Amino acid sequence: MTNSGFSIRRAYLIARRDFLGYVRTWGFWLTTFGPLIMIGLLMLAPIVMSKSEPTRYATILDETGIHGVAIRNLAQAENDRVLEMAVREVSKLTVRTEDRAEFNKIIDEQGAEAAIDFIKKENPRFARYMNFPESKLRFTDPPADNIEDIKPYVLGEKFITNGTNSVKLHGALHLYEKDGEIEADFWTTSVVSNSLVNLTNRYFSRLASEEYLQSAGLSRSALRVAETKAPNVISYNPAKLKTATGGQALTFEDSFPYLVAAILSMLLWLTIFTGAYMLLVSMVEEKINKVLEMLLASTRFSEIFVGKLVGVAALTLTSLSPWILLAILGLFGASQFGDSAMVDGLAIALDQRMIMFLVVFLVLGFLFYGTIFIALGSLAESMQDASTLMTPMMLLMTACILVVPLGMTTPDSPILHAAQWFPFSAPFAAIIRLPADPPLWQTLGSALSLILSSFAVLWFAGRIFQHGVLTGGGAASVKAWFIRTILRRKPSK
Amino acid sequence: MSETTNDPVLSIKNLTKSFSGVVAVNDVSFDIHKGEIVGFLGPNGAGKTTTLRMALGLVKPELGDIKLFNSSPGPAAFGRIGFLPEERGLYRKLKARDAIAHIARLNGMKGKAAFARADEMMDRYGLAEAKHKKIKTLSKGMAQKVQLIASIAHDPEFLILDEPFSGLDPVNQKLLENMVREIVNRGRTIIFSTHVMEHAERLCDRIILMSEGNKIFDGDLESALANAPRRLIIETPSKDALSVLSPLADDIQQSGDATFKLVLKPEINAQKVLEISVKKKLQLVRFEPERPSLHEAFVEIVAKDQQEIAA
Repeated sequence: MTNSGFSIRRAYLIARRDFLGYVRTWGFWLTTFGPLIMIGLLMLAPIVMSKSEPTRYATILDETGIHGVAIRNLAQAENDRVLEMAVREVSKLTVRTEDRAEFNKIIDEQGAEAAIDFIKKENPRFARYMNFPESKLRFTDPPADNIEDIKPYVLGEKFITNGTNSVKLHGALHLYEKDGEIEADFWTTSVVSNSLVNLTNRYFSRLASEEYLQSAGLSRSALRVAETKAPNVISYNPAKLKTATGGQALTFEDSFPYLVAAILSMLLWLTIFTGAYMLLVSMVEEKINKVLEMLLASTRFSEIFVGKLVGVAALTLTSLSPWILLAILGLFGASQFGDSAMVDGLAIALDQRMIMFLVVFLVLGFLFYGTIFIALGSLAESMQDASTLMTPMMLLMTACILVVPLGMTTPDSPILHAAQWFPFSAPFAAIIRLPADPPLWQTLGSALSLILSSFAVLWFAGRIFQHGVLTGGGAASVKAWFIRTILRRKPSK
Repeated sequence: MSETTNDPVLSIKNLTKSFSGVVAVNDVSFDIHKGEIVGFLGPNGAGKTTTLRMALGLVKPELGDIKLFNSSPGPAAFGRIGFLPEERGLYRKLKARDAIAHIARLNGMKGKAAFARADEMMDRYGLAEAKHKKIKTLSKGMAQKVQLIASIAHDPEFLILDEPFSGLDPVNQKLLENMVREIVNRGRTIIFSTHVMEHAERLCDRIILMSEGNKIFDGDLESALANAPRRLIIETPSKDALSVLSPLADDIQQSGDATFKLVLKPEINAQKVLEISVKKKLQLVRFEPERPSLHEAFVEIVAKDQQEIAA
């Protein structure tokens, strides 16, 4: 075996150990899937809570003869609206783009129940898993004609009959007039469940405003009509090409790429930071384990360096794989069932240029930051040391991510232009600027500056790494080394 | 430059290294030839570890020249050397067998062969039960044995062991001595550093003594011991024993009436004492030359060196 050249095999063995060293631990998989599990739990929580909520029976003893029915009607209307919103959300995943117009017509004209039937016919497999919200508050007729006789039902001393079951009355709303004013008393033993109280308050609040408007000869519905007549400002872009379907008015599709670029830029930052941090931890662990000196008797510095970069890159990709999979599924779902404007916006935002530069800046950013973090890790003797050394880098990285909101609001900002050439912020600035269609030479120049900086950092970090590993490290020793080797001066004692 | 069979495995010439103005190694030169087992001795801070690190190419010397297998130290020697560093450690979360195989593979062994060798060596050196245990769960001694096996599993031609005996209990120290002998019997070359002279006395063909960064002795064990003060125990009932023996010794300690412990003058040996005793008609009940220790030799050599520097 020829040992003198760079050995890909040895670099691979280092990468493999770093990769498997993490992947074989429970902690890694918990960290990888933890956020997904948390999101799943958060999404499931309202459903579980709704399922676990018992059905409550309430009654309205209405001595006014008007408001009791109106409150029940308002409850029904609100339930219908919630159901309609839920059906519309579900339709985004279950109704094909070409069938969307028909679905919209059905839900607008025939209501949510008809729309649910349409979805069941369109997508019978999915329909089995559909679970729409339903109100757990049920109204029942008053079991007595005065509130004193109803109170034993509220106290659980007597029970109302629901089919064959006897159930306790959750609460009783007593509506009556006193001195010409309407009074509403709610009797219940539950001190926290107040959905009927809220509903009643909403009803009387609307009623009060309706009566006020009527006293002036106005109505709520007329006010809504008047509001629709207000002029709506439309933005136009003269640079936008006129198409057969649309003019030069700015639409959601036009702003969507900026939103996507911002999300991608944030993800890029998060990925690079995660990977670089893993490299730092891996380096510190090896220093603490005191294994590096033994490795260096059989492996080049460069092989350890490259092996670590590759191993942790693979590790980062693995830890991101659930998210990548989720994104692919989301894109597929959007293309199949999503809103056509959103799909078109995604197609424009995720064009070839964006994907290509995203990959380029991911690799270069990881290389740049990864080498810096390896070097910092080689100087640390403990995780505490590492935290101290990492703090300035963290501040710098946090400052760099500020280019994202800047790119969304002011893509032509000179700060953003400058940030594209500064290696620490170049990956994020270049990506956030892409929707503004900067000249290609600027994006390529940004990549080139990052490549050159990465080489410089590689050279410099390699020396810090060698020094840090073999001298026992420490920032003070590196300072002395820097003055002696780079500045060619004698360090002061 | 091509390597020939007569070339030394390691050749160090006029090596000098200092850290922050403090000289750690000062103008040190020596060669190590194939099949030798060399003890690299000296107290803590004598410059042993720095010299060994420079020999491996881990630290660059300020002055001097190093040839490892007739080449500059570094990648050209990968796979041919085994190194046990002074600061012990392996991947704590790795299983012992995997850790050994990993280092063996980095030293050029193929995957299956590396694992087979790890199994074989762990069985041979009493670590069979630790094969599938993580390093962090092993005792300090066991972890040290695992690391030693990791450094020799690829059967290196030249083994550099930095303080291999430190931290081991007497039983494991004996086991390690046996391992070292076994390796040398296969024709391999070893240099090991230690500040415990007894190991070197038992194992080494040759001894290099270091003190304060300087090489103060390089030779075989007997030559080293010749520097130590010679001691003699004499038991005699003769009344004039003290007056006869005093001119021959730098120091005499009498215990009881008849037993004398002598530290002989440099120009006097045991034979000469015997001749004079017979001539003076001393009645000898006991005449026992005491073998000097390497530690005494070391102290003597350092003292001589200091005197020379002072002069």
